[in-house]
Amino acid sequence: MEPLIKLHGVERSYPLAGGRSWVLRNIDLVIDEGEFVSVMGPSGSGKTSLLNVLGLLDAGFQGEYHLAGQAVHLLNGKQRQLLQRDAIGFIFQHYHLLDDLTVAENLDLPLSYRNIKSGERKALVGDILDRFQIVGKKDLFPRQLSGGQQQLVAVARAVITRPKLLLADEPTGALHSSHGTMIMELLAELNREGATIVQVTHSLANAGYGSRTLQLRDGWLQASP
Amino acid sequence: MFFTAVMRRLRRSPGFFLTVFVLTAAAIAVNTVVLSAIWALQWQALPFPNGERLVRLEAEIPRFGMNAGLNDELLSDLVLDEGVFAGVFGYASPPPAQASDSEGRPWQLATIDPQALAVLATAPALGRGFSSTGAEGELLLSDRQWRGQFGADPDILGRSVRLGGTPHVVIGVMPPTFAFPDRGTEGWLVRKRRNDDGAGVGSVQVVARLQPGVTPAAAASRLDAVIAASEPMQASLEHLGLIGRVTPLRQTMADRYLDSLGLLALASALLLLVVAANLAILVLDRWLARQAEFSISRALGARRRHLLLSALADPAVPVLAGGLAGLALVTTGLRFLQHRSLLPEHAMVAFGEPLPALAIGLAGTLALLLAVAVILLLMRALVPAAAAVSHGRRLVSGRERLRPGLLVAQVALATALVGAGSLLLHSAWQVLQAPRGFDEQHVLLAAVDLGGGHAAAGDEAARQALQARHQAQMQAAREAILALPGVEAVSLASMPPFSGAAYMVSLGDPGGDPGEHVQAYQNQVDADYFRVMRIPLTLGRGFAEGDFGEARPVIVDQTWQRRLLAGADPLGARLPGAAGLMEGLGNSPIIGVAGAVRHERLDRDDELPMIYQAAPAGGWPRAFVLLRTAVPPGQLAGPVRDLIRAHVPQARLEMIGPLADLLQRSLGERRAVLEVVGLFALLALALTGLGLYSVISVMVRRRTAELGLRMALGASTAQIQRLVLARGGVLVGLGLAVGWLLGRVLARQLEAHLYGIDSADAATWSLALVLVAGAGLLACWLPARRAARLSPMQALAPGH
Repeated sequence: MEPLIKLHGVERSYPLAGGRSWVLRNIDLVIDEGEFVSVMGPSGSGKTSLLNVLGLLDAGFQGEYHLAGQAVHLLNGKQRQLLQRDAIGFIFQHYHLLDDLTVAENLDLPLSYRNIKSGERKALVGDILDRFQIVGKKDLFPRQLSGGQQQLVAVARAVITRPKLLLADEPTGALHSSHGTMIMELLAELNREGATIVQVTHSLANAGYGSRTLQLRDGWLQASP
Repeated sequence: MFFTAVMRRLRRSPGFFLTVFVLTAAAIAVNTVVLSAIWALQWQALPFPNGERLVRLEAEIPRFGMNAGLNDELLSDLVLDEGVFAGVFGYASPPPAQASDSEGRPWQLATIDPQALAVLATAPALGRGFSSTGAEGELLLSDRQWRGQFGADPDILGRSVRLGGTPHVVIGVMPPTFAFPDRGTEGWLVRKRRNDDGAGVGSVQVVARLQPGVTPAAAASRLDAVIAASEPMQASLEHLGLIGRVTPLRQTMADRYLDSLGLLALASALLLLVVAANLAILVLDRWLARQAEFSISRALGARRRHLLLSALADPAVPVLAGGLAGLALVTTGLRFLQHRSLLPEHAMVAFGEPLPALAIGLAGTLALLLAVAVILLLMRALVPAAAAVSHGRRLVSGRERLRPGLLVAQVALATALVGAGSLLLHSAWQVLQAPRGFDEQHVLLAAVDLGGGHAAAGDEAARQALQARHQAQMQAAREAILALPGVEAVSLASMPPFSGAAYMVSLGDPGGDPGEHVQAYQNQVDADYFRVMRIPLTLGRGFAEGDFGEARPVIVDQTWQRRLLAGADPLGARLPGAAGLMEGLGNSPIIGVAGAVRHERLDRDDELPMIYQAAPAGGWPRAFVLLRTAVPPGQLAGPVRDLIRAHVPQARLEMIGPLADLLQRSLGERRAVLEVVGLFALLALALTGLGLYSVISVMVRRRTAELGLRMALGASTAQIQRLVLARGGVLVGLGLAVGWLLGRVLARQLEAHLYGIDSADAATWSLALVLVAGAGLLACWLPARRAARLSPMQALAPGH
């Protein structure tokens, strides 16, 4: 079976006076559908850079990247954007809910970018509110929620479009431990239901929820399958 | 959801909404008002069919630098010339007379020839026009008067209306669009033909409709030929050198105002650019503040158009509301221009009715072009998507480089506007300081129309008897006024300065070739004139009792002495001989020299020389009473009015008021332009300050962590302030340099409005530069001070 993600010789660097600063070096990586991969490493090791490349937010890399059978390194900006919209969901450390939108409106936001009819969008939002048991909070604004509740909404927003790949950048980094556990269990459940997840984390406990852990150091991948 | 979210964001930032709303409203209102005024004067159709073929016929008197109307003899000749003129008619001059109805309400009336309506190609909406013979006592009503005074009574025809004590019969009502000679005219009477000798000009204003294909130049040639062929005009032709002048009717209405309006259009365009730059900075700030939101949306799948729509929606609401509010202010703005004499109170065309689509289109298009230019610049840099997943790290994009550029442009434009305002202010100061040659303070002036009749008084004996009666009346009035408490001296004169009266003579030039003539003002005054006006006598003596006999000695002014006596002793000299028209003044002995005075305008140096002639009041149809008072002159206006009415009951008091007010009024247009441009300059200065404040504040916010770190490392408060100020200082400096160069070029348009300085006046520009620099540095200093007060711990806390 074709893997969901396949990186070959991927490198990322930035120009500096007198040379270049390398943040990813010669990355070879394969992730199959349904995997839950944790990326760990010290600060500055390249974790976020790797996530940006995987999430199609950064196109300035060298090497080959295949996602869901498509050669990302050969796509133009518009094609990359379409692929990202259809295949990827993001969960951020600081939730990044929009302050001016209610919970329901935040959940509707990614759907509104996908030309889905209003009635269908309402149904999808209703389903996800039910599933995450936050129906009672649908008209509240983010500032009226606790950190854990905000991250719960952020996860719901990430999965509402049923992405093939869920990328989580320190999903519990800003949360109290009890809330962190709740979020990690939710991710594990989503993974059991078939979602492919790549998370960046500093926490060994959180990494334990995954099926595989990758170590990055100075841009080099330390362990590979 | 989209609209709800926009409104929610705006509710949370009322400052942004209000600022954008006010700026847009001001810019649209100012530009639409000025463009509407220019459009109405220049291009709006006149309220007559084929109005562009209507012209005004005048006689230009090059020696006096003025134009005058024609006379009835010439008018009769022109009517016959059907090859050039499709029609010609005369109307009364001076402009529309006022007469009161039986209820004492004054009417604004015009007197026109019976054929006027045919020439103007307009028929009454109700009733008929004047009969071809021009029956006296017939009255045509304006539509406004018919509706306002008579409740649009359909049975108005035949009704009798008493005007000035004489009954008139209403024979028709003109259509609502009809306006002649202006929109203030409420009724029309038949003009009486003046049976003068046809030797002079100016007794009748003449309007003609040109035949199709005939140009004004061709019509002017024809008018020249008619004047040359007129037997009675030969003396005027010889002494005054008359030239026929044909001017499109529109031009006679518009010319006086277009110069000032052009200047205002330039100033308002600069203001529009300043406002646009300011709006762009505000919108950019807003977009920068929403950068994280855009990044998240982008990561959630938003496409460029989604983000662009969302970004544009915020300013769109206040811009739209502001634009509508600006348009609603147009009528008020036009009234303001009329109030400030920058537009005629009653032109033939209506201002702002209906709202001119052209002006709205122009203002809107300009704003749209600017908005599009800014948006195009921003589109490429709108979406730094990776920022959202990089722990709040933000990318430096083209937007942040654009803002300082806009700011430099804004400082430059403000400098140009402030420079222009300063030049006008300096010029106004120079005008006020200009020597006028007399003391206008504590002088009351009254204009008395003695009832005329001198020329039409039959034989010489009757004329002299009438003159003697008027003289006696005026002397009695003079004595009575002198007896009023607070009156120091009283004088009678025919043309005091700034009274609007001007009598000119043409005399042989004593130093020139035979046949050369020199023009001068001729002011007939009594013995106390120089004392009342405080005009100094530099040589010789003033008038005494014995001077009012047959000898009629004169006093000349220093301008005459300088130009025409070439160092010779004026005392004992005589005025040169004068032939024809001015025989009475020739060879008069000069008994003194008076200081030169400004007669019509404080800002004009090229005044004619003045000849003062000793003459008792009463010999002229119109006399001026001048009082030097020990109390504020306005206080005496009432008692003086009563005394004149008591002693000269047949006279009409045309005007009474302090002479100083007339001087101020003569500066009205200059002051109005100064006020409006000054207001624009202040607004531009304030907006530039706001822009600078905004840019430097954002920079401080952005660099909070860096500034905190510097402080933690030992930087002093003053060092932090200097660091922030230096950034603003560079922008201000660049803007000043560009603005100075731009302003120097634009200020050349101001030359005609400047007095005593030129458009490159170094002192004025230095002041303007210091003013803008001061305002700019103040705007930078406020955020700099805030930056210096930051606590390093706060500044270094996460989130900055």
